[in-house]
Amino acid sequence: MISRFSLIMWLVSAGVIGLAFAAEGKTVNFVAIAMFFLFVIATLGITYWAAKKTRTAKDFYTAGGGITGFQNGLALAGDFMSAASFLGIAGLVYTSGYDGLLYSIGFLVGWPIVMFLLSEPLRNLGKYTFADVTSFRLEQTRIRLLAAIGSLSVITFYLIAQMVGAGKLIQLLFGIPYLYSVIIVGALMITYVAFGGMLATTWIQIIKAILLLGGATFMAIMVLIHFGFSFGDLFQTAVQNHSKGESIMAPGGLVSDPLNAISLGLALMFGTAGLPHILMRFFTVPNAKEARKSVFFATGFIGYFYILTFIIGFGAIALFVQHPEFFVNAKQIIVDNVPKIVDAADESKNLIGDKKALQGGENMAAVLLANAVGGPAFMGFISAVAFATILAVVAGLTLAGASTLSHDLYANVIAKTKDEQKEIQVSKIATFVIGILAIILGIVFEKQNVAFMVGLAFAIAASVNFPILLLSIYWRNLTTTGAFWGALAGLIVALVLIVISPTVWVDVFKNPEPIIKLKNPAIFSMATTFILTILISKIDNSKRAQEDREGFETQYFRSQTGIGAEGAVKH
Amino acid sequence: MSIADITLFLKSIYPFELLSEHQINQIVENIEVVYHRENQKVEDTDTYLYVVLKGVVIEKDPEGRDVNYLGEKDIFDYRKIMNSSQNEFFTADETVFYRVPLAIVRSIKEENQEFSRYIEKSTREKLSSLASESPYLFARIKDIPLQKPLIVSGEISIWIAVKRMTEEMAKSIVVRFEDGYGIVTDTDLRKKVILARKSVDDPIGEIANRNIVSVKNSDFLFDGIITMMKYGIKRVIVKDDEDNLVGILNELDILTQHSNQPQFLALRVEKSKSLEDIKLISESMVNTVRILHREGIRTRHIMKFVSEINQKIFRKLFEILAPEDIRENTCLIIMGSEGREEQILKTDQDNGLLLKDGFNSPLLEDFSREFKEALKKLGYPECKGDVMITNPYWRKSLSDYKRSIFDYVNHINPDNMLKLAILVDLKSVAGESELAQELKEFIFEQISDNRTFLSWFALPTIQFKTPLNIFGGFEAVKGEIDLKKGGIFPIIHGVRALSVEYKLRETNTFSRIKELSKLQIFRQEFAGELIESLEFMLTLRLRESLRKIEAKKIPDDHVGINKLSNLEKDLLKESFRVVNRFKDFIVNHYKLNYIT
Repeated sequence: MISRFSLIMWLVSAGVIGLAFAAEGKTVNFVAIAMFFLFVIATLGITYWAAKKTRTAKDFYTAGGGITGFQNGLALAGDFMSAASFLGIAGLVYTSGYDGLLYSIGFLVGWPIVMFLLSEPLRNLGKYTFADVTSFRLEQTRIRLLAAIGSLSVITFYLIAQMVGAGKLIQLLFGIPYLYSVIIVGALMITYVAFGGMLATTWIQIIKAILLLGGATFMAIMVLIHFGFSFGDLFQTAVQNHSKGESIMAPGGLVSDPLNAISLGLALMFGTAGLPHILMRFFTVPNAKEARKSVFFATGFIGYFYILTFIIGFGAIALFVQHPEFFVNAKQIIVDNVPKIVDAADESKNLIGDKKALQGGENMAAVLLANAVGGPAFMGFISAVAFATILAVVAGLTLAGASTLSHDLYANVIAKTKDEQKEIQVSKIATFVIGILAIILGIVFEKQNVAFMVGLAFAIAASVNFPILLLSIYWRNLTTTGAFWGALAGLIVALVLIVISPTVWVDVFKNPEPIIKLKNPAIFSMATTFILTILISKIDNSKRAQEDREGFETQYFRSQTGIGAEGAVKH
Repeated sequence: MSIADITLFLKSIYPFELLSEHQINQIVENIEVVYHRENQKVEDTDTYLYVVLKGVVIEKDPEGRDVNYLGEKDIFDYRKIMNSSQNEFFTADETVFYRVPLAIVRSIKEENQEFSRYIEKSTREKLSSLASESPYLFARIKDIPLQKPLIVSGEISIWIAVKRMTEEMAKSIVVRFEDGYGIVTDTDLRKKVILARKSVDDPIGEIANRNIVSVKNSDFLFDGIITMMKYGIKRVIVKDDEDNLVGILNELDILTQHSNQPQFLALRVEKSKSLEDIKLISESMVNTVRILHREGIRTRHIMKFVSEINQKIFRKLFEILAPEDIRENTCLIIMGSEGREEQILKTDQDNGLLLKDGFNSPLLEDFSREFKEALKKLGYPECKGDVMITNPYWRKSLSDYKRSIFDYVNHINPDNMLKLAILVDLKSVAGESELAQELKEFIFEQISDNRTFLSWFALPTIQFKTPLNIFGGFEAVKGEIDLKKGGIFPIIHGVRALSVEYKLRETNTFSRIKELSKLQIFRQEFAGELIESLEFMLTLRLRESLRKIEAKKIPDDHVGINKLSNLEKDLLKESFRVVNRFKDFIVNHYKLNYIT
């Protein structure tokens, strides 16, 4: 259903951005901008064209076709290779070297967990949201309330990450202030969702994944060509250039702050299983076999992608030394025949790897590298891919949020009536509210590394959604009361820890010292949820608890076999 | 006639009554008197509004068929005001008209809300064919149990005649004269005998009404009704082809028949003994549909009706052709639009045969072929998708059908979705209906609580864009709109998905919508809008198809925008808006934004 309308919208947005730019009157990269629009229009044009061909009776059902495991693997990868992870991880590698890889590995390890523990039982149950699964045997009202709170928290953090990424990207590409960029992105997203352009995202994700993989491969190859395909030379140059020197090759954070590293790892591993838009993907394939295949392919693509981002991050360290124009207030000096980028005011300050010195901040390392290795046209291409990615992900998240608000919260908790048409209205209003909220949050969290914000979203998903999902599928004794209070406690612990962590307490609230040093709360919040849920469920002797336990048998049978109690068939 | 007379004359006609003094004067000032001889075409009906002063006019539709008779004080088709009629008018007698330029009427319509509302309402009534709710008016008169005529000689006394009437419980009596017939009714007795203090010993011939109207028993039932309406009478005499009096058709009888229509229509199929008999019925189908459509009968009733006749024919054929063991061990099912009872013109063969597990017969293949050939002869073309009992895929045991369904659910692809969609609408026609029922149960068991699958199944609902742009105008391709893709298919398919989910036994889309509304899935008013929209689009498609058949073209689902009146355009846009809201509903209900 990507319509001609979307195309028009893109053109309109082009005009808006153009005007905003004209108002600023800065020099801009016209080739990059032209490339940007060309690409975006081409992508949407393709989907429009693809949707048009229909002639025979069967054509009426092409949409009901499902997709193959391979295609779904690509789409999953597309979902996962969000702009936040592409830009953010490249940025992390650029600033911290090896430590940045920790994120990639964490993300990657999450996959088999999703696969073996959850995706198949969920498929078999035929449910596709956290709330739908857990309310299979638990009490609707409280579970939906919990689901709403949990999902909205996850969505909020994920949304922030995407908004910041998109804002920075537009800012860098068009040379307009960050504030305007975020507003433009938010407005575009609301229009996109509100006017019904949010379908057929699977294909957008597939196309995007291919382009992103292609683009990143190209960048990595260009970097490697520069060093004669010698990783040794690449790393050596990087170590030589980076302000942190040799420490970028060592697991610095992991050693100095193991608790934080483990916590982050847990969040990334188990959070994947609690992300609404990832769980959803397992229902886009027609059967369990294809679902398994799609995880196999997705893991392959994502693994490959992270290797690329790693090379890109190091490439940025190694090559930016030739591009003082990528930095703010910087100049290039030659010391002992080796070029260095230093602060224009302070020659002793090496700016390579510095968080703030880069134009647009560390998150833009990949985009700037695109310019360095492929020129402005290629930079436009990468920006467009990244931007389309963000828009798709952001729109998806907004929809998931709106649906949670309208279905789980409004219909099942507040109104308690069956009126889907009212639900749709609520969901439309919710879209606007979330959109506006996203803009505001995007502005507030401007300075954050987006990969890091994604880490927080994962932490909440790992602390609220994952434990309850897991227990509800595998543990007979789970009760509604246990799940509700356990998860709520986990959520509160996570949120409190985030607020008093350096990220919010220092960076947002501008306090001089954080209350705790831990940046990612998952290790504590996850434990809280698990322990409390189990304890409360054990001592829960209410009537409801009995019903909850009695429902387990049916649910378990179904989740393991895919056969409804009465629907057995010989074959 | 003086100006005052004209004013008075106009004021006595209903919608002009609503006009202000000033507006009436405006019309009177511009009025012209026109005179036509009989059998002349009335010209310029697109620029003038005509009112009959004296005489008779016949209104004909663009295909040249009579659709209306106009007499004194009748206004030519209101739709002319809305620019939505291409009907033509011919005088049947010397006729005098008043005519006013339509431009003036239109400008008055702009000013006068009440007048405008009336005109629009009349127009809409004509469009949506509210005129008649009855779908079953096209039986031949001979198929209806007629009142036996009570015939007496004109010489017998009124008293004896009334005694005979009382004995026979007749409300009228036919009086035979040497040169023809007359009729005496209860009303005649009241007026011409009792109130006139006439002696009951006088001959009955003296009070008989000799201006009697007759119809042929080979005419359609509604020909009889139209005749009665035309003459303002309550009964007509029915004669056979040899001009023998065979009965009296009574308005009351027709009304009574309404409650059990299908039976007497189906009667003809049931009575038929040979293929030739059935062929006659099926051949007349397109024409019948045309007549019903022209008579303003609601499209969904025409569909229902056509389907019922079709089903009767299939059943009859099955009974004639199937050997006994096949009849006892199989079930003939119809699927797709046949099963939904929404076939109207191109009645493809969409059927299958369900066999009891373990049953097999060497005769099956021959029987299937004979059945198909017979249907073909009867004018039911072969199904292009080969959904026919001759195809072993659609002629298999209950378990095999179940296996197929299991396979559809586990291997989602367009082909399987199409097959399942066809099968979901199955309806048993003949043979062991329990088999069909069991299959349907099985479909429900497999799918109705499988949300994932349902989402995929529902997805085609939103596959095509509704042909409205963001400004609410049409998005036409070469000036044409595909009604099926744009609105009919989305509603039918979305409703189909919902009815599997909620295990509805109904197959007809209209009935399904009503059921869903009862289950509170839809709000009641939304269900109403959905029904209206679907029916409006179906009606448009039917009208266009009939036109195309007339012009020897192949009917399709397209309608040219320039073929629509302004009002129809508005109604179509409104229908598409309803389609969009329905799509929103389906997207939300099946979380389609997650899986696309």
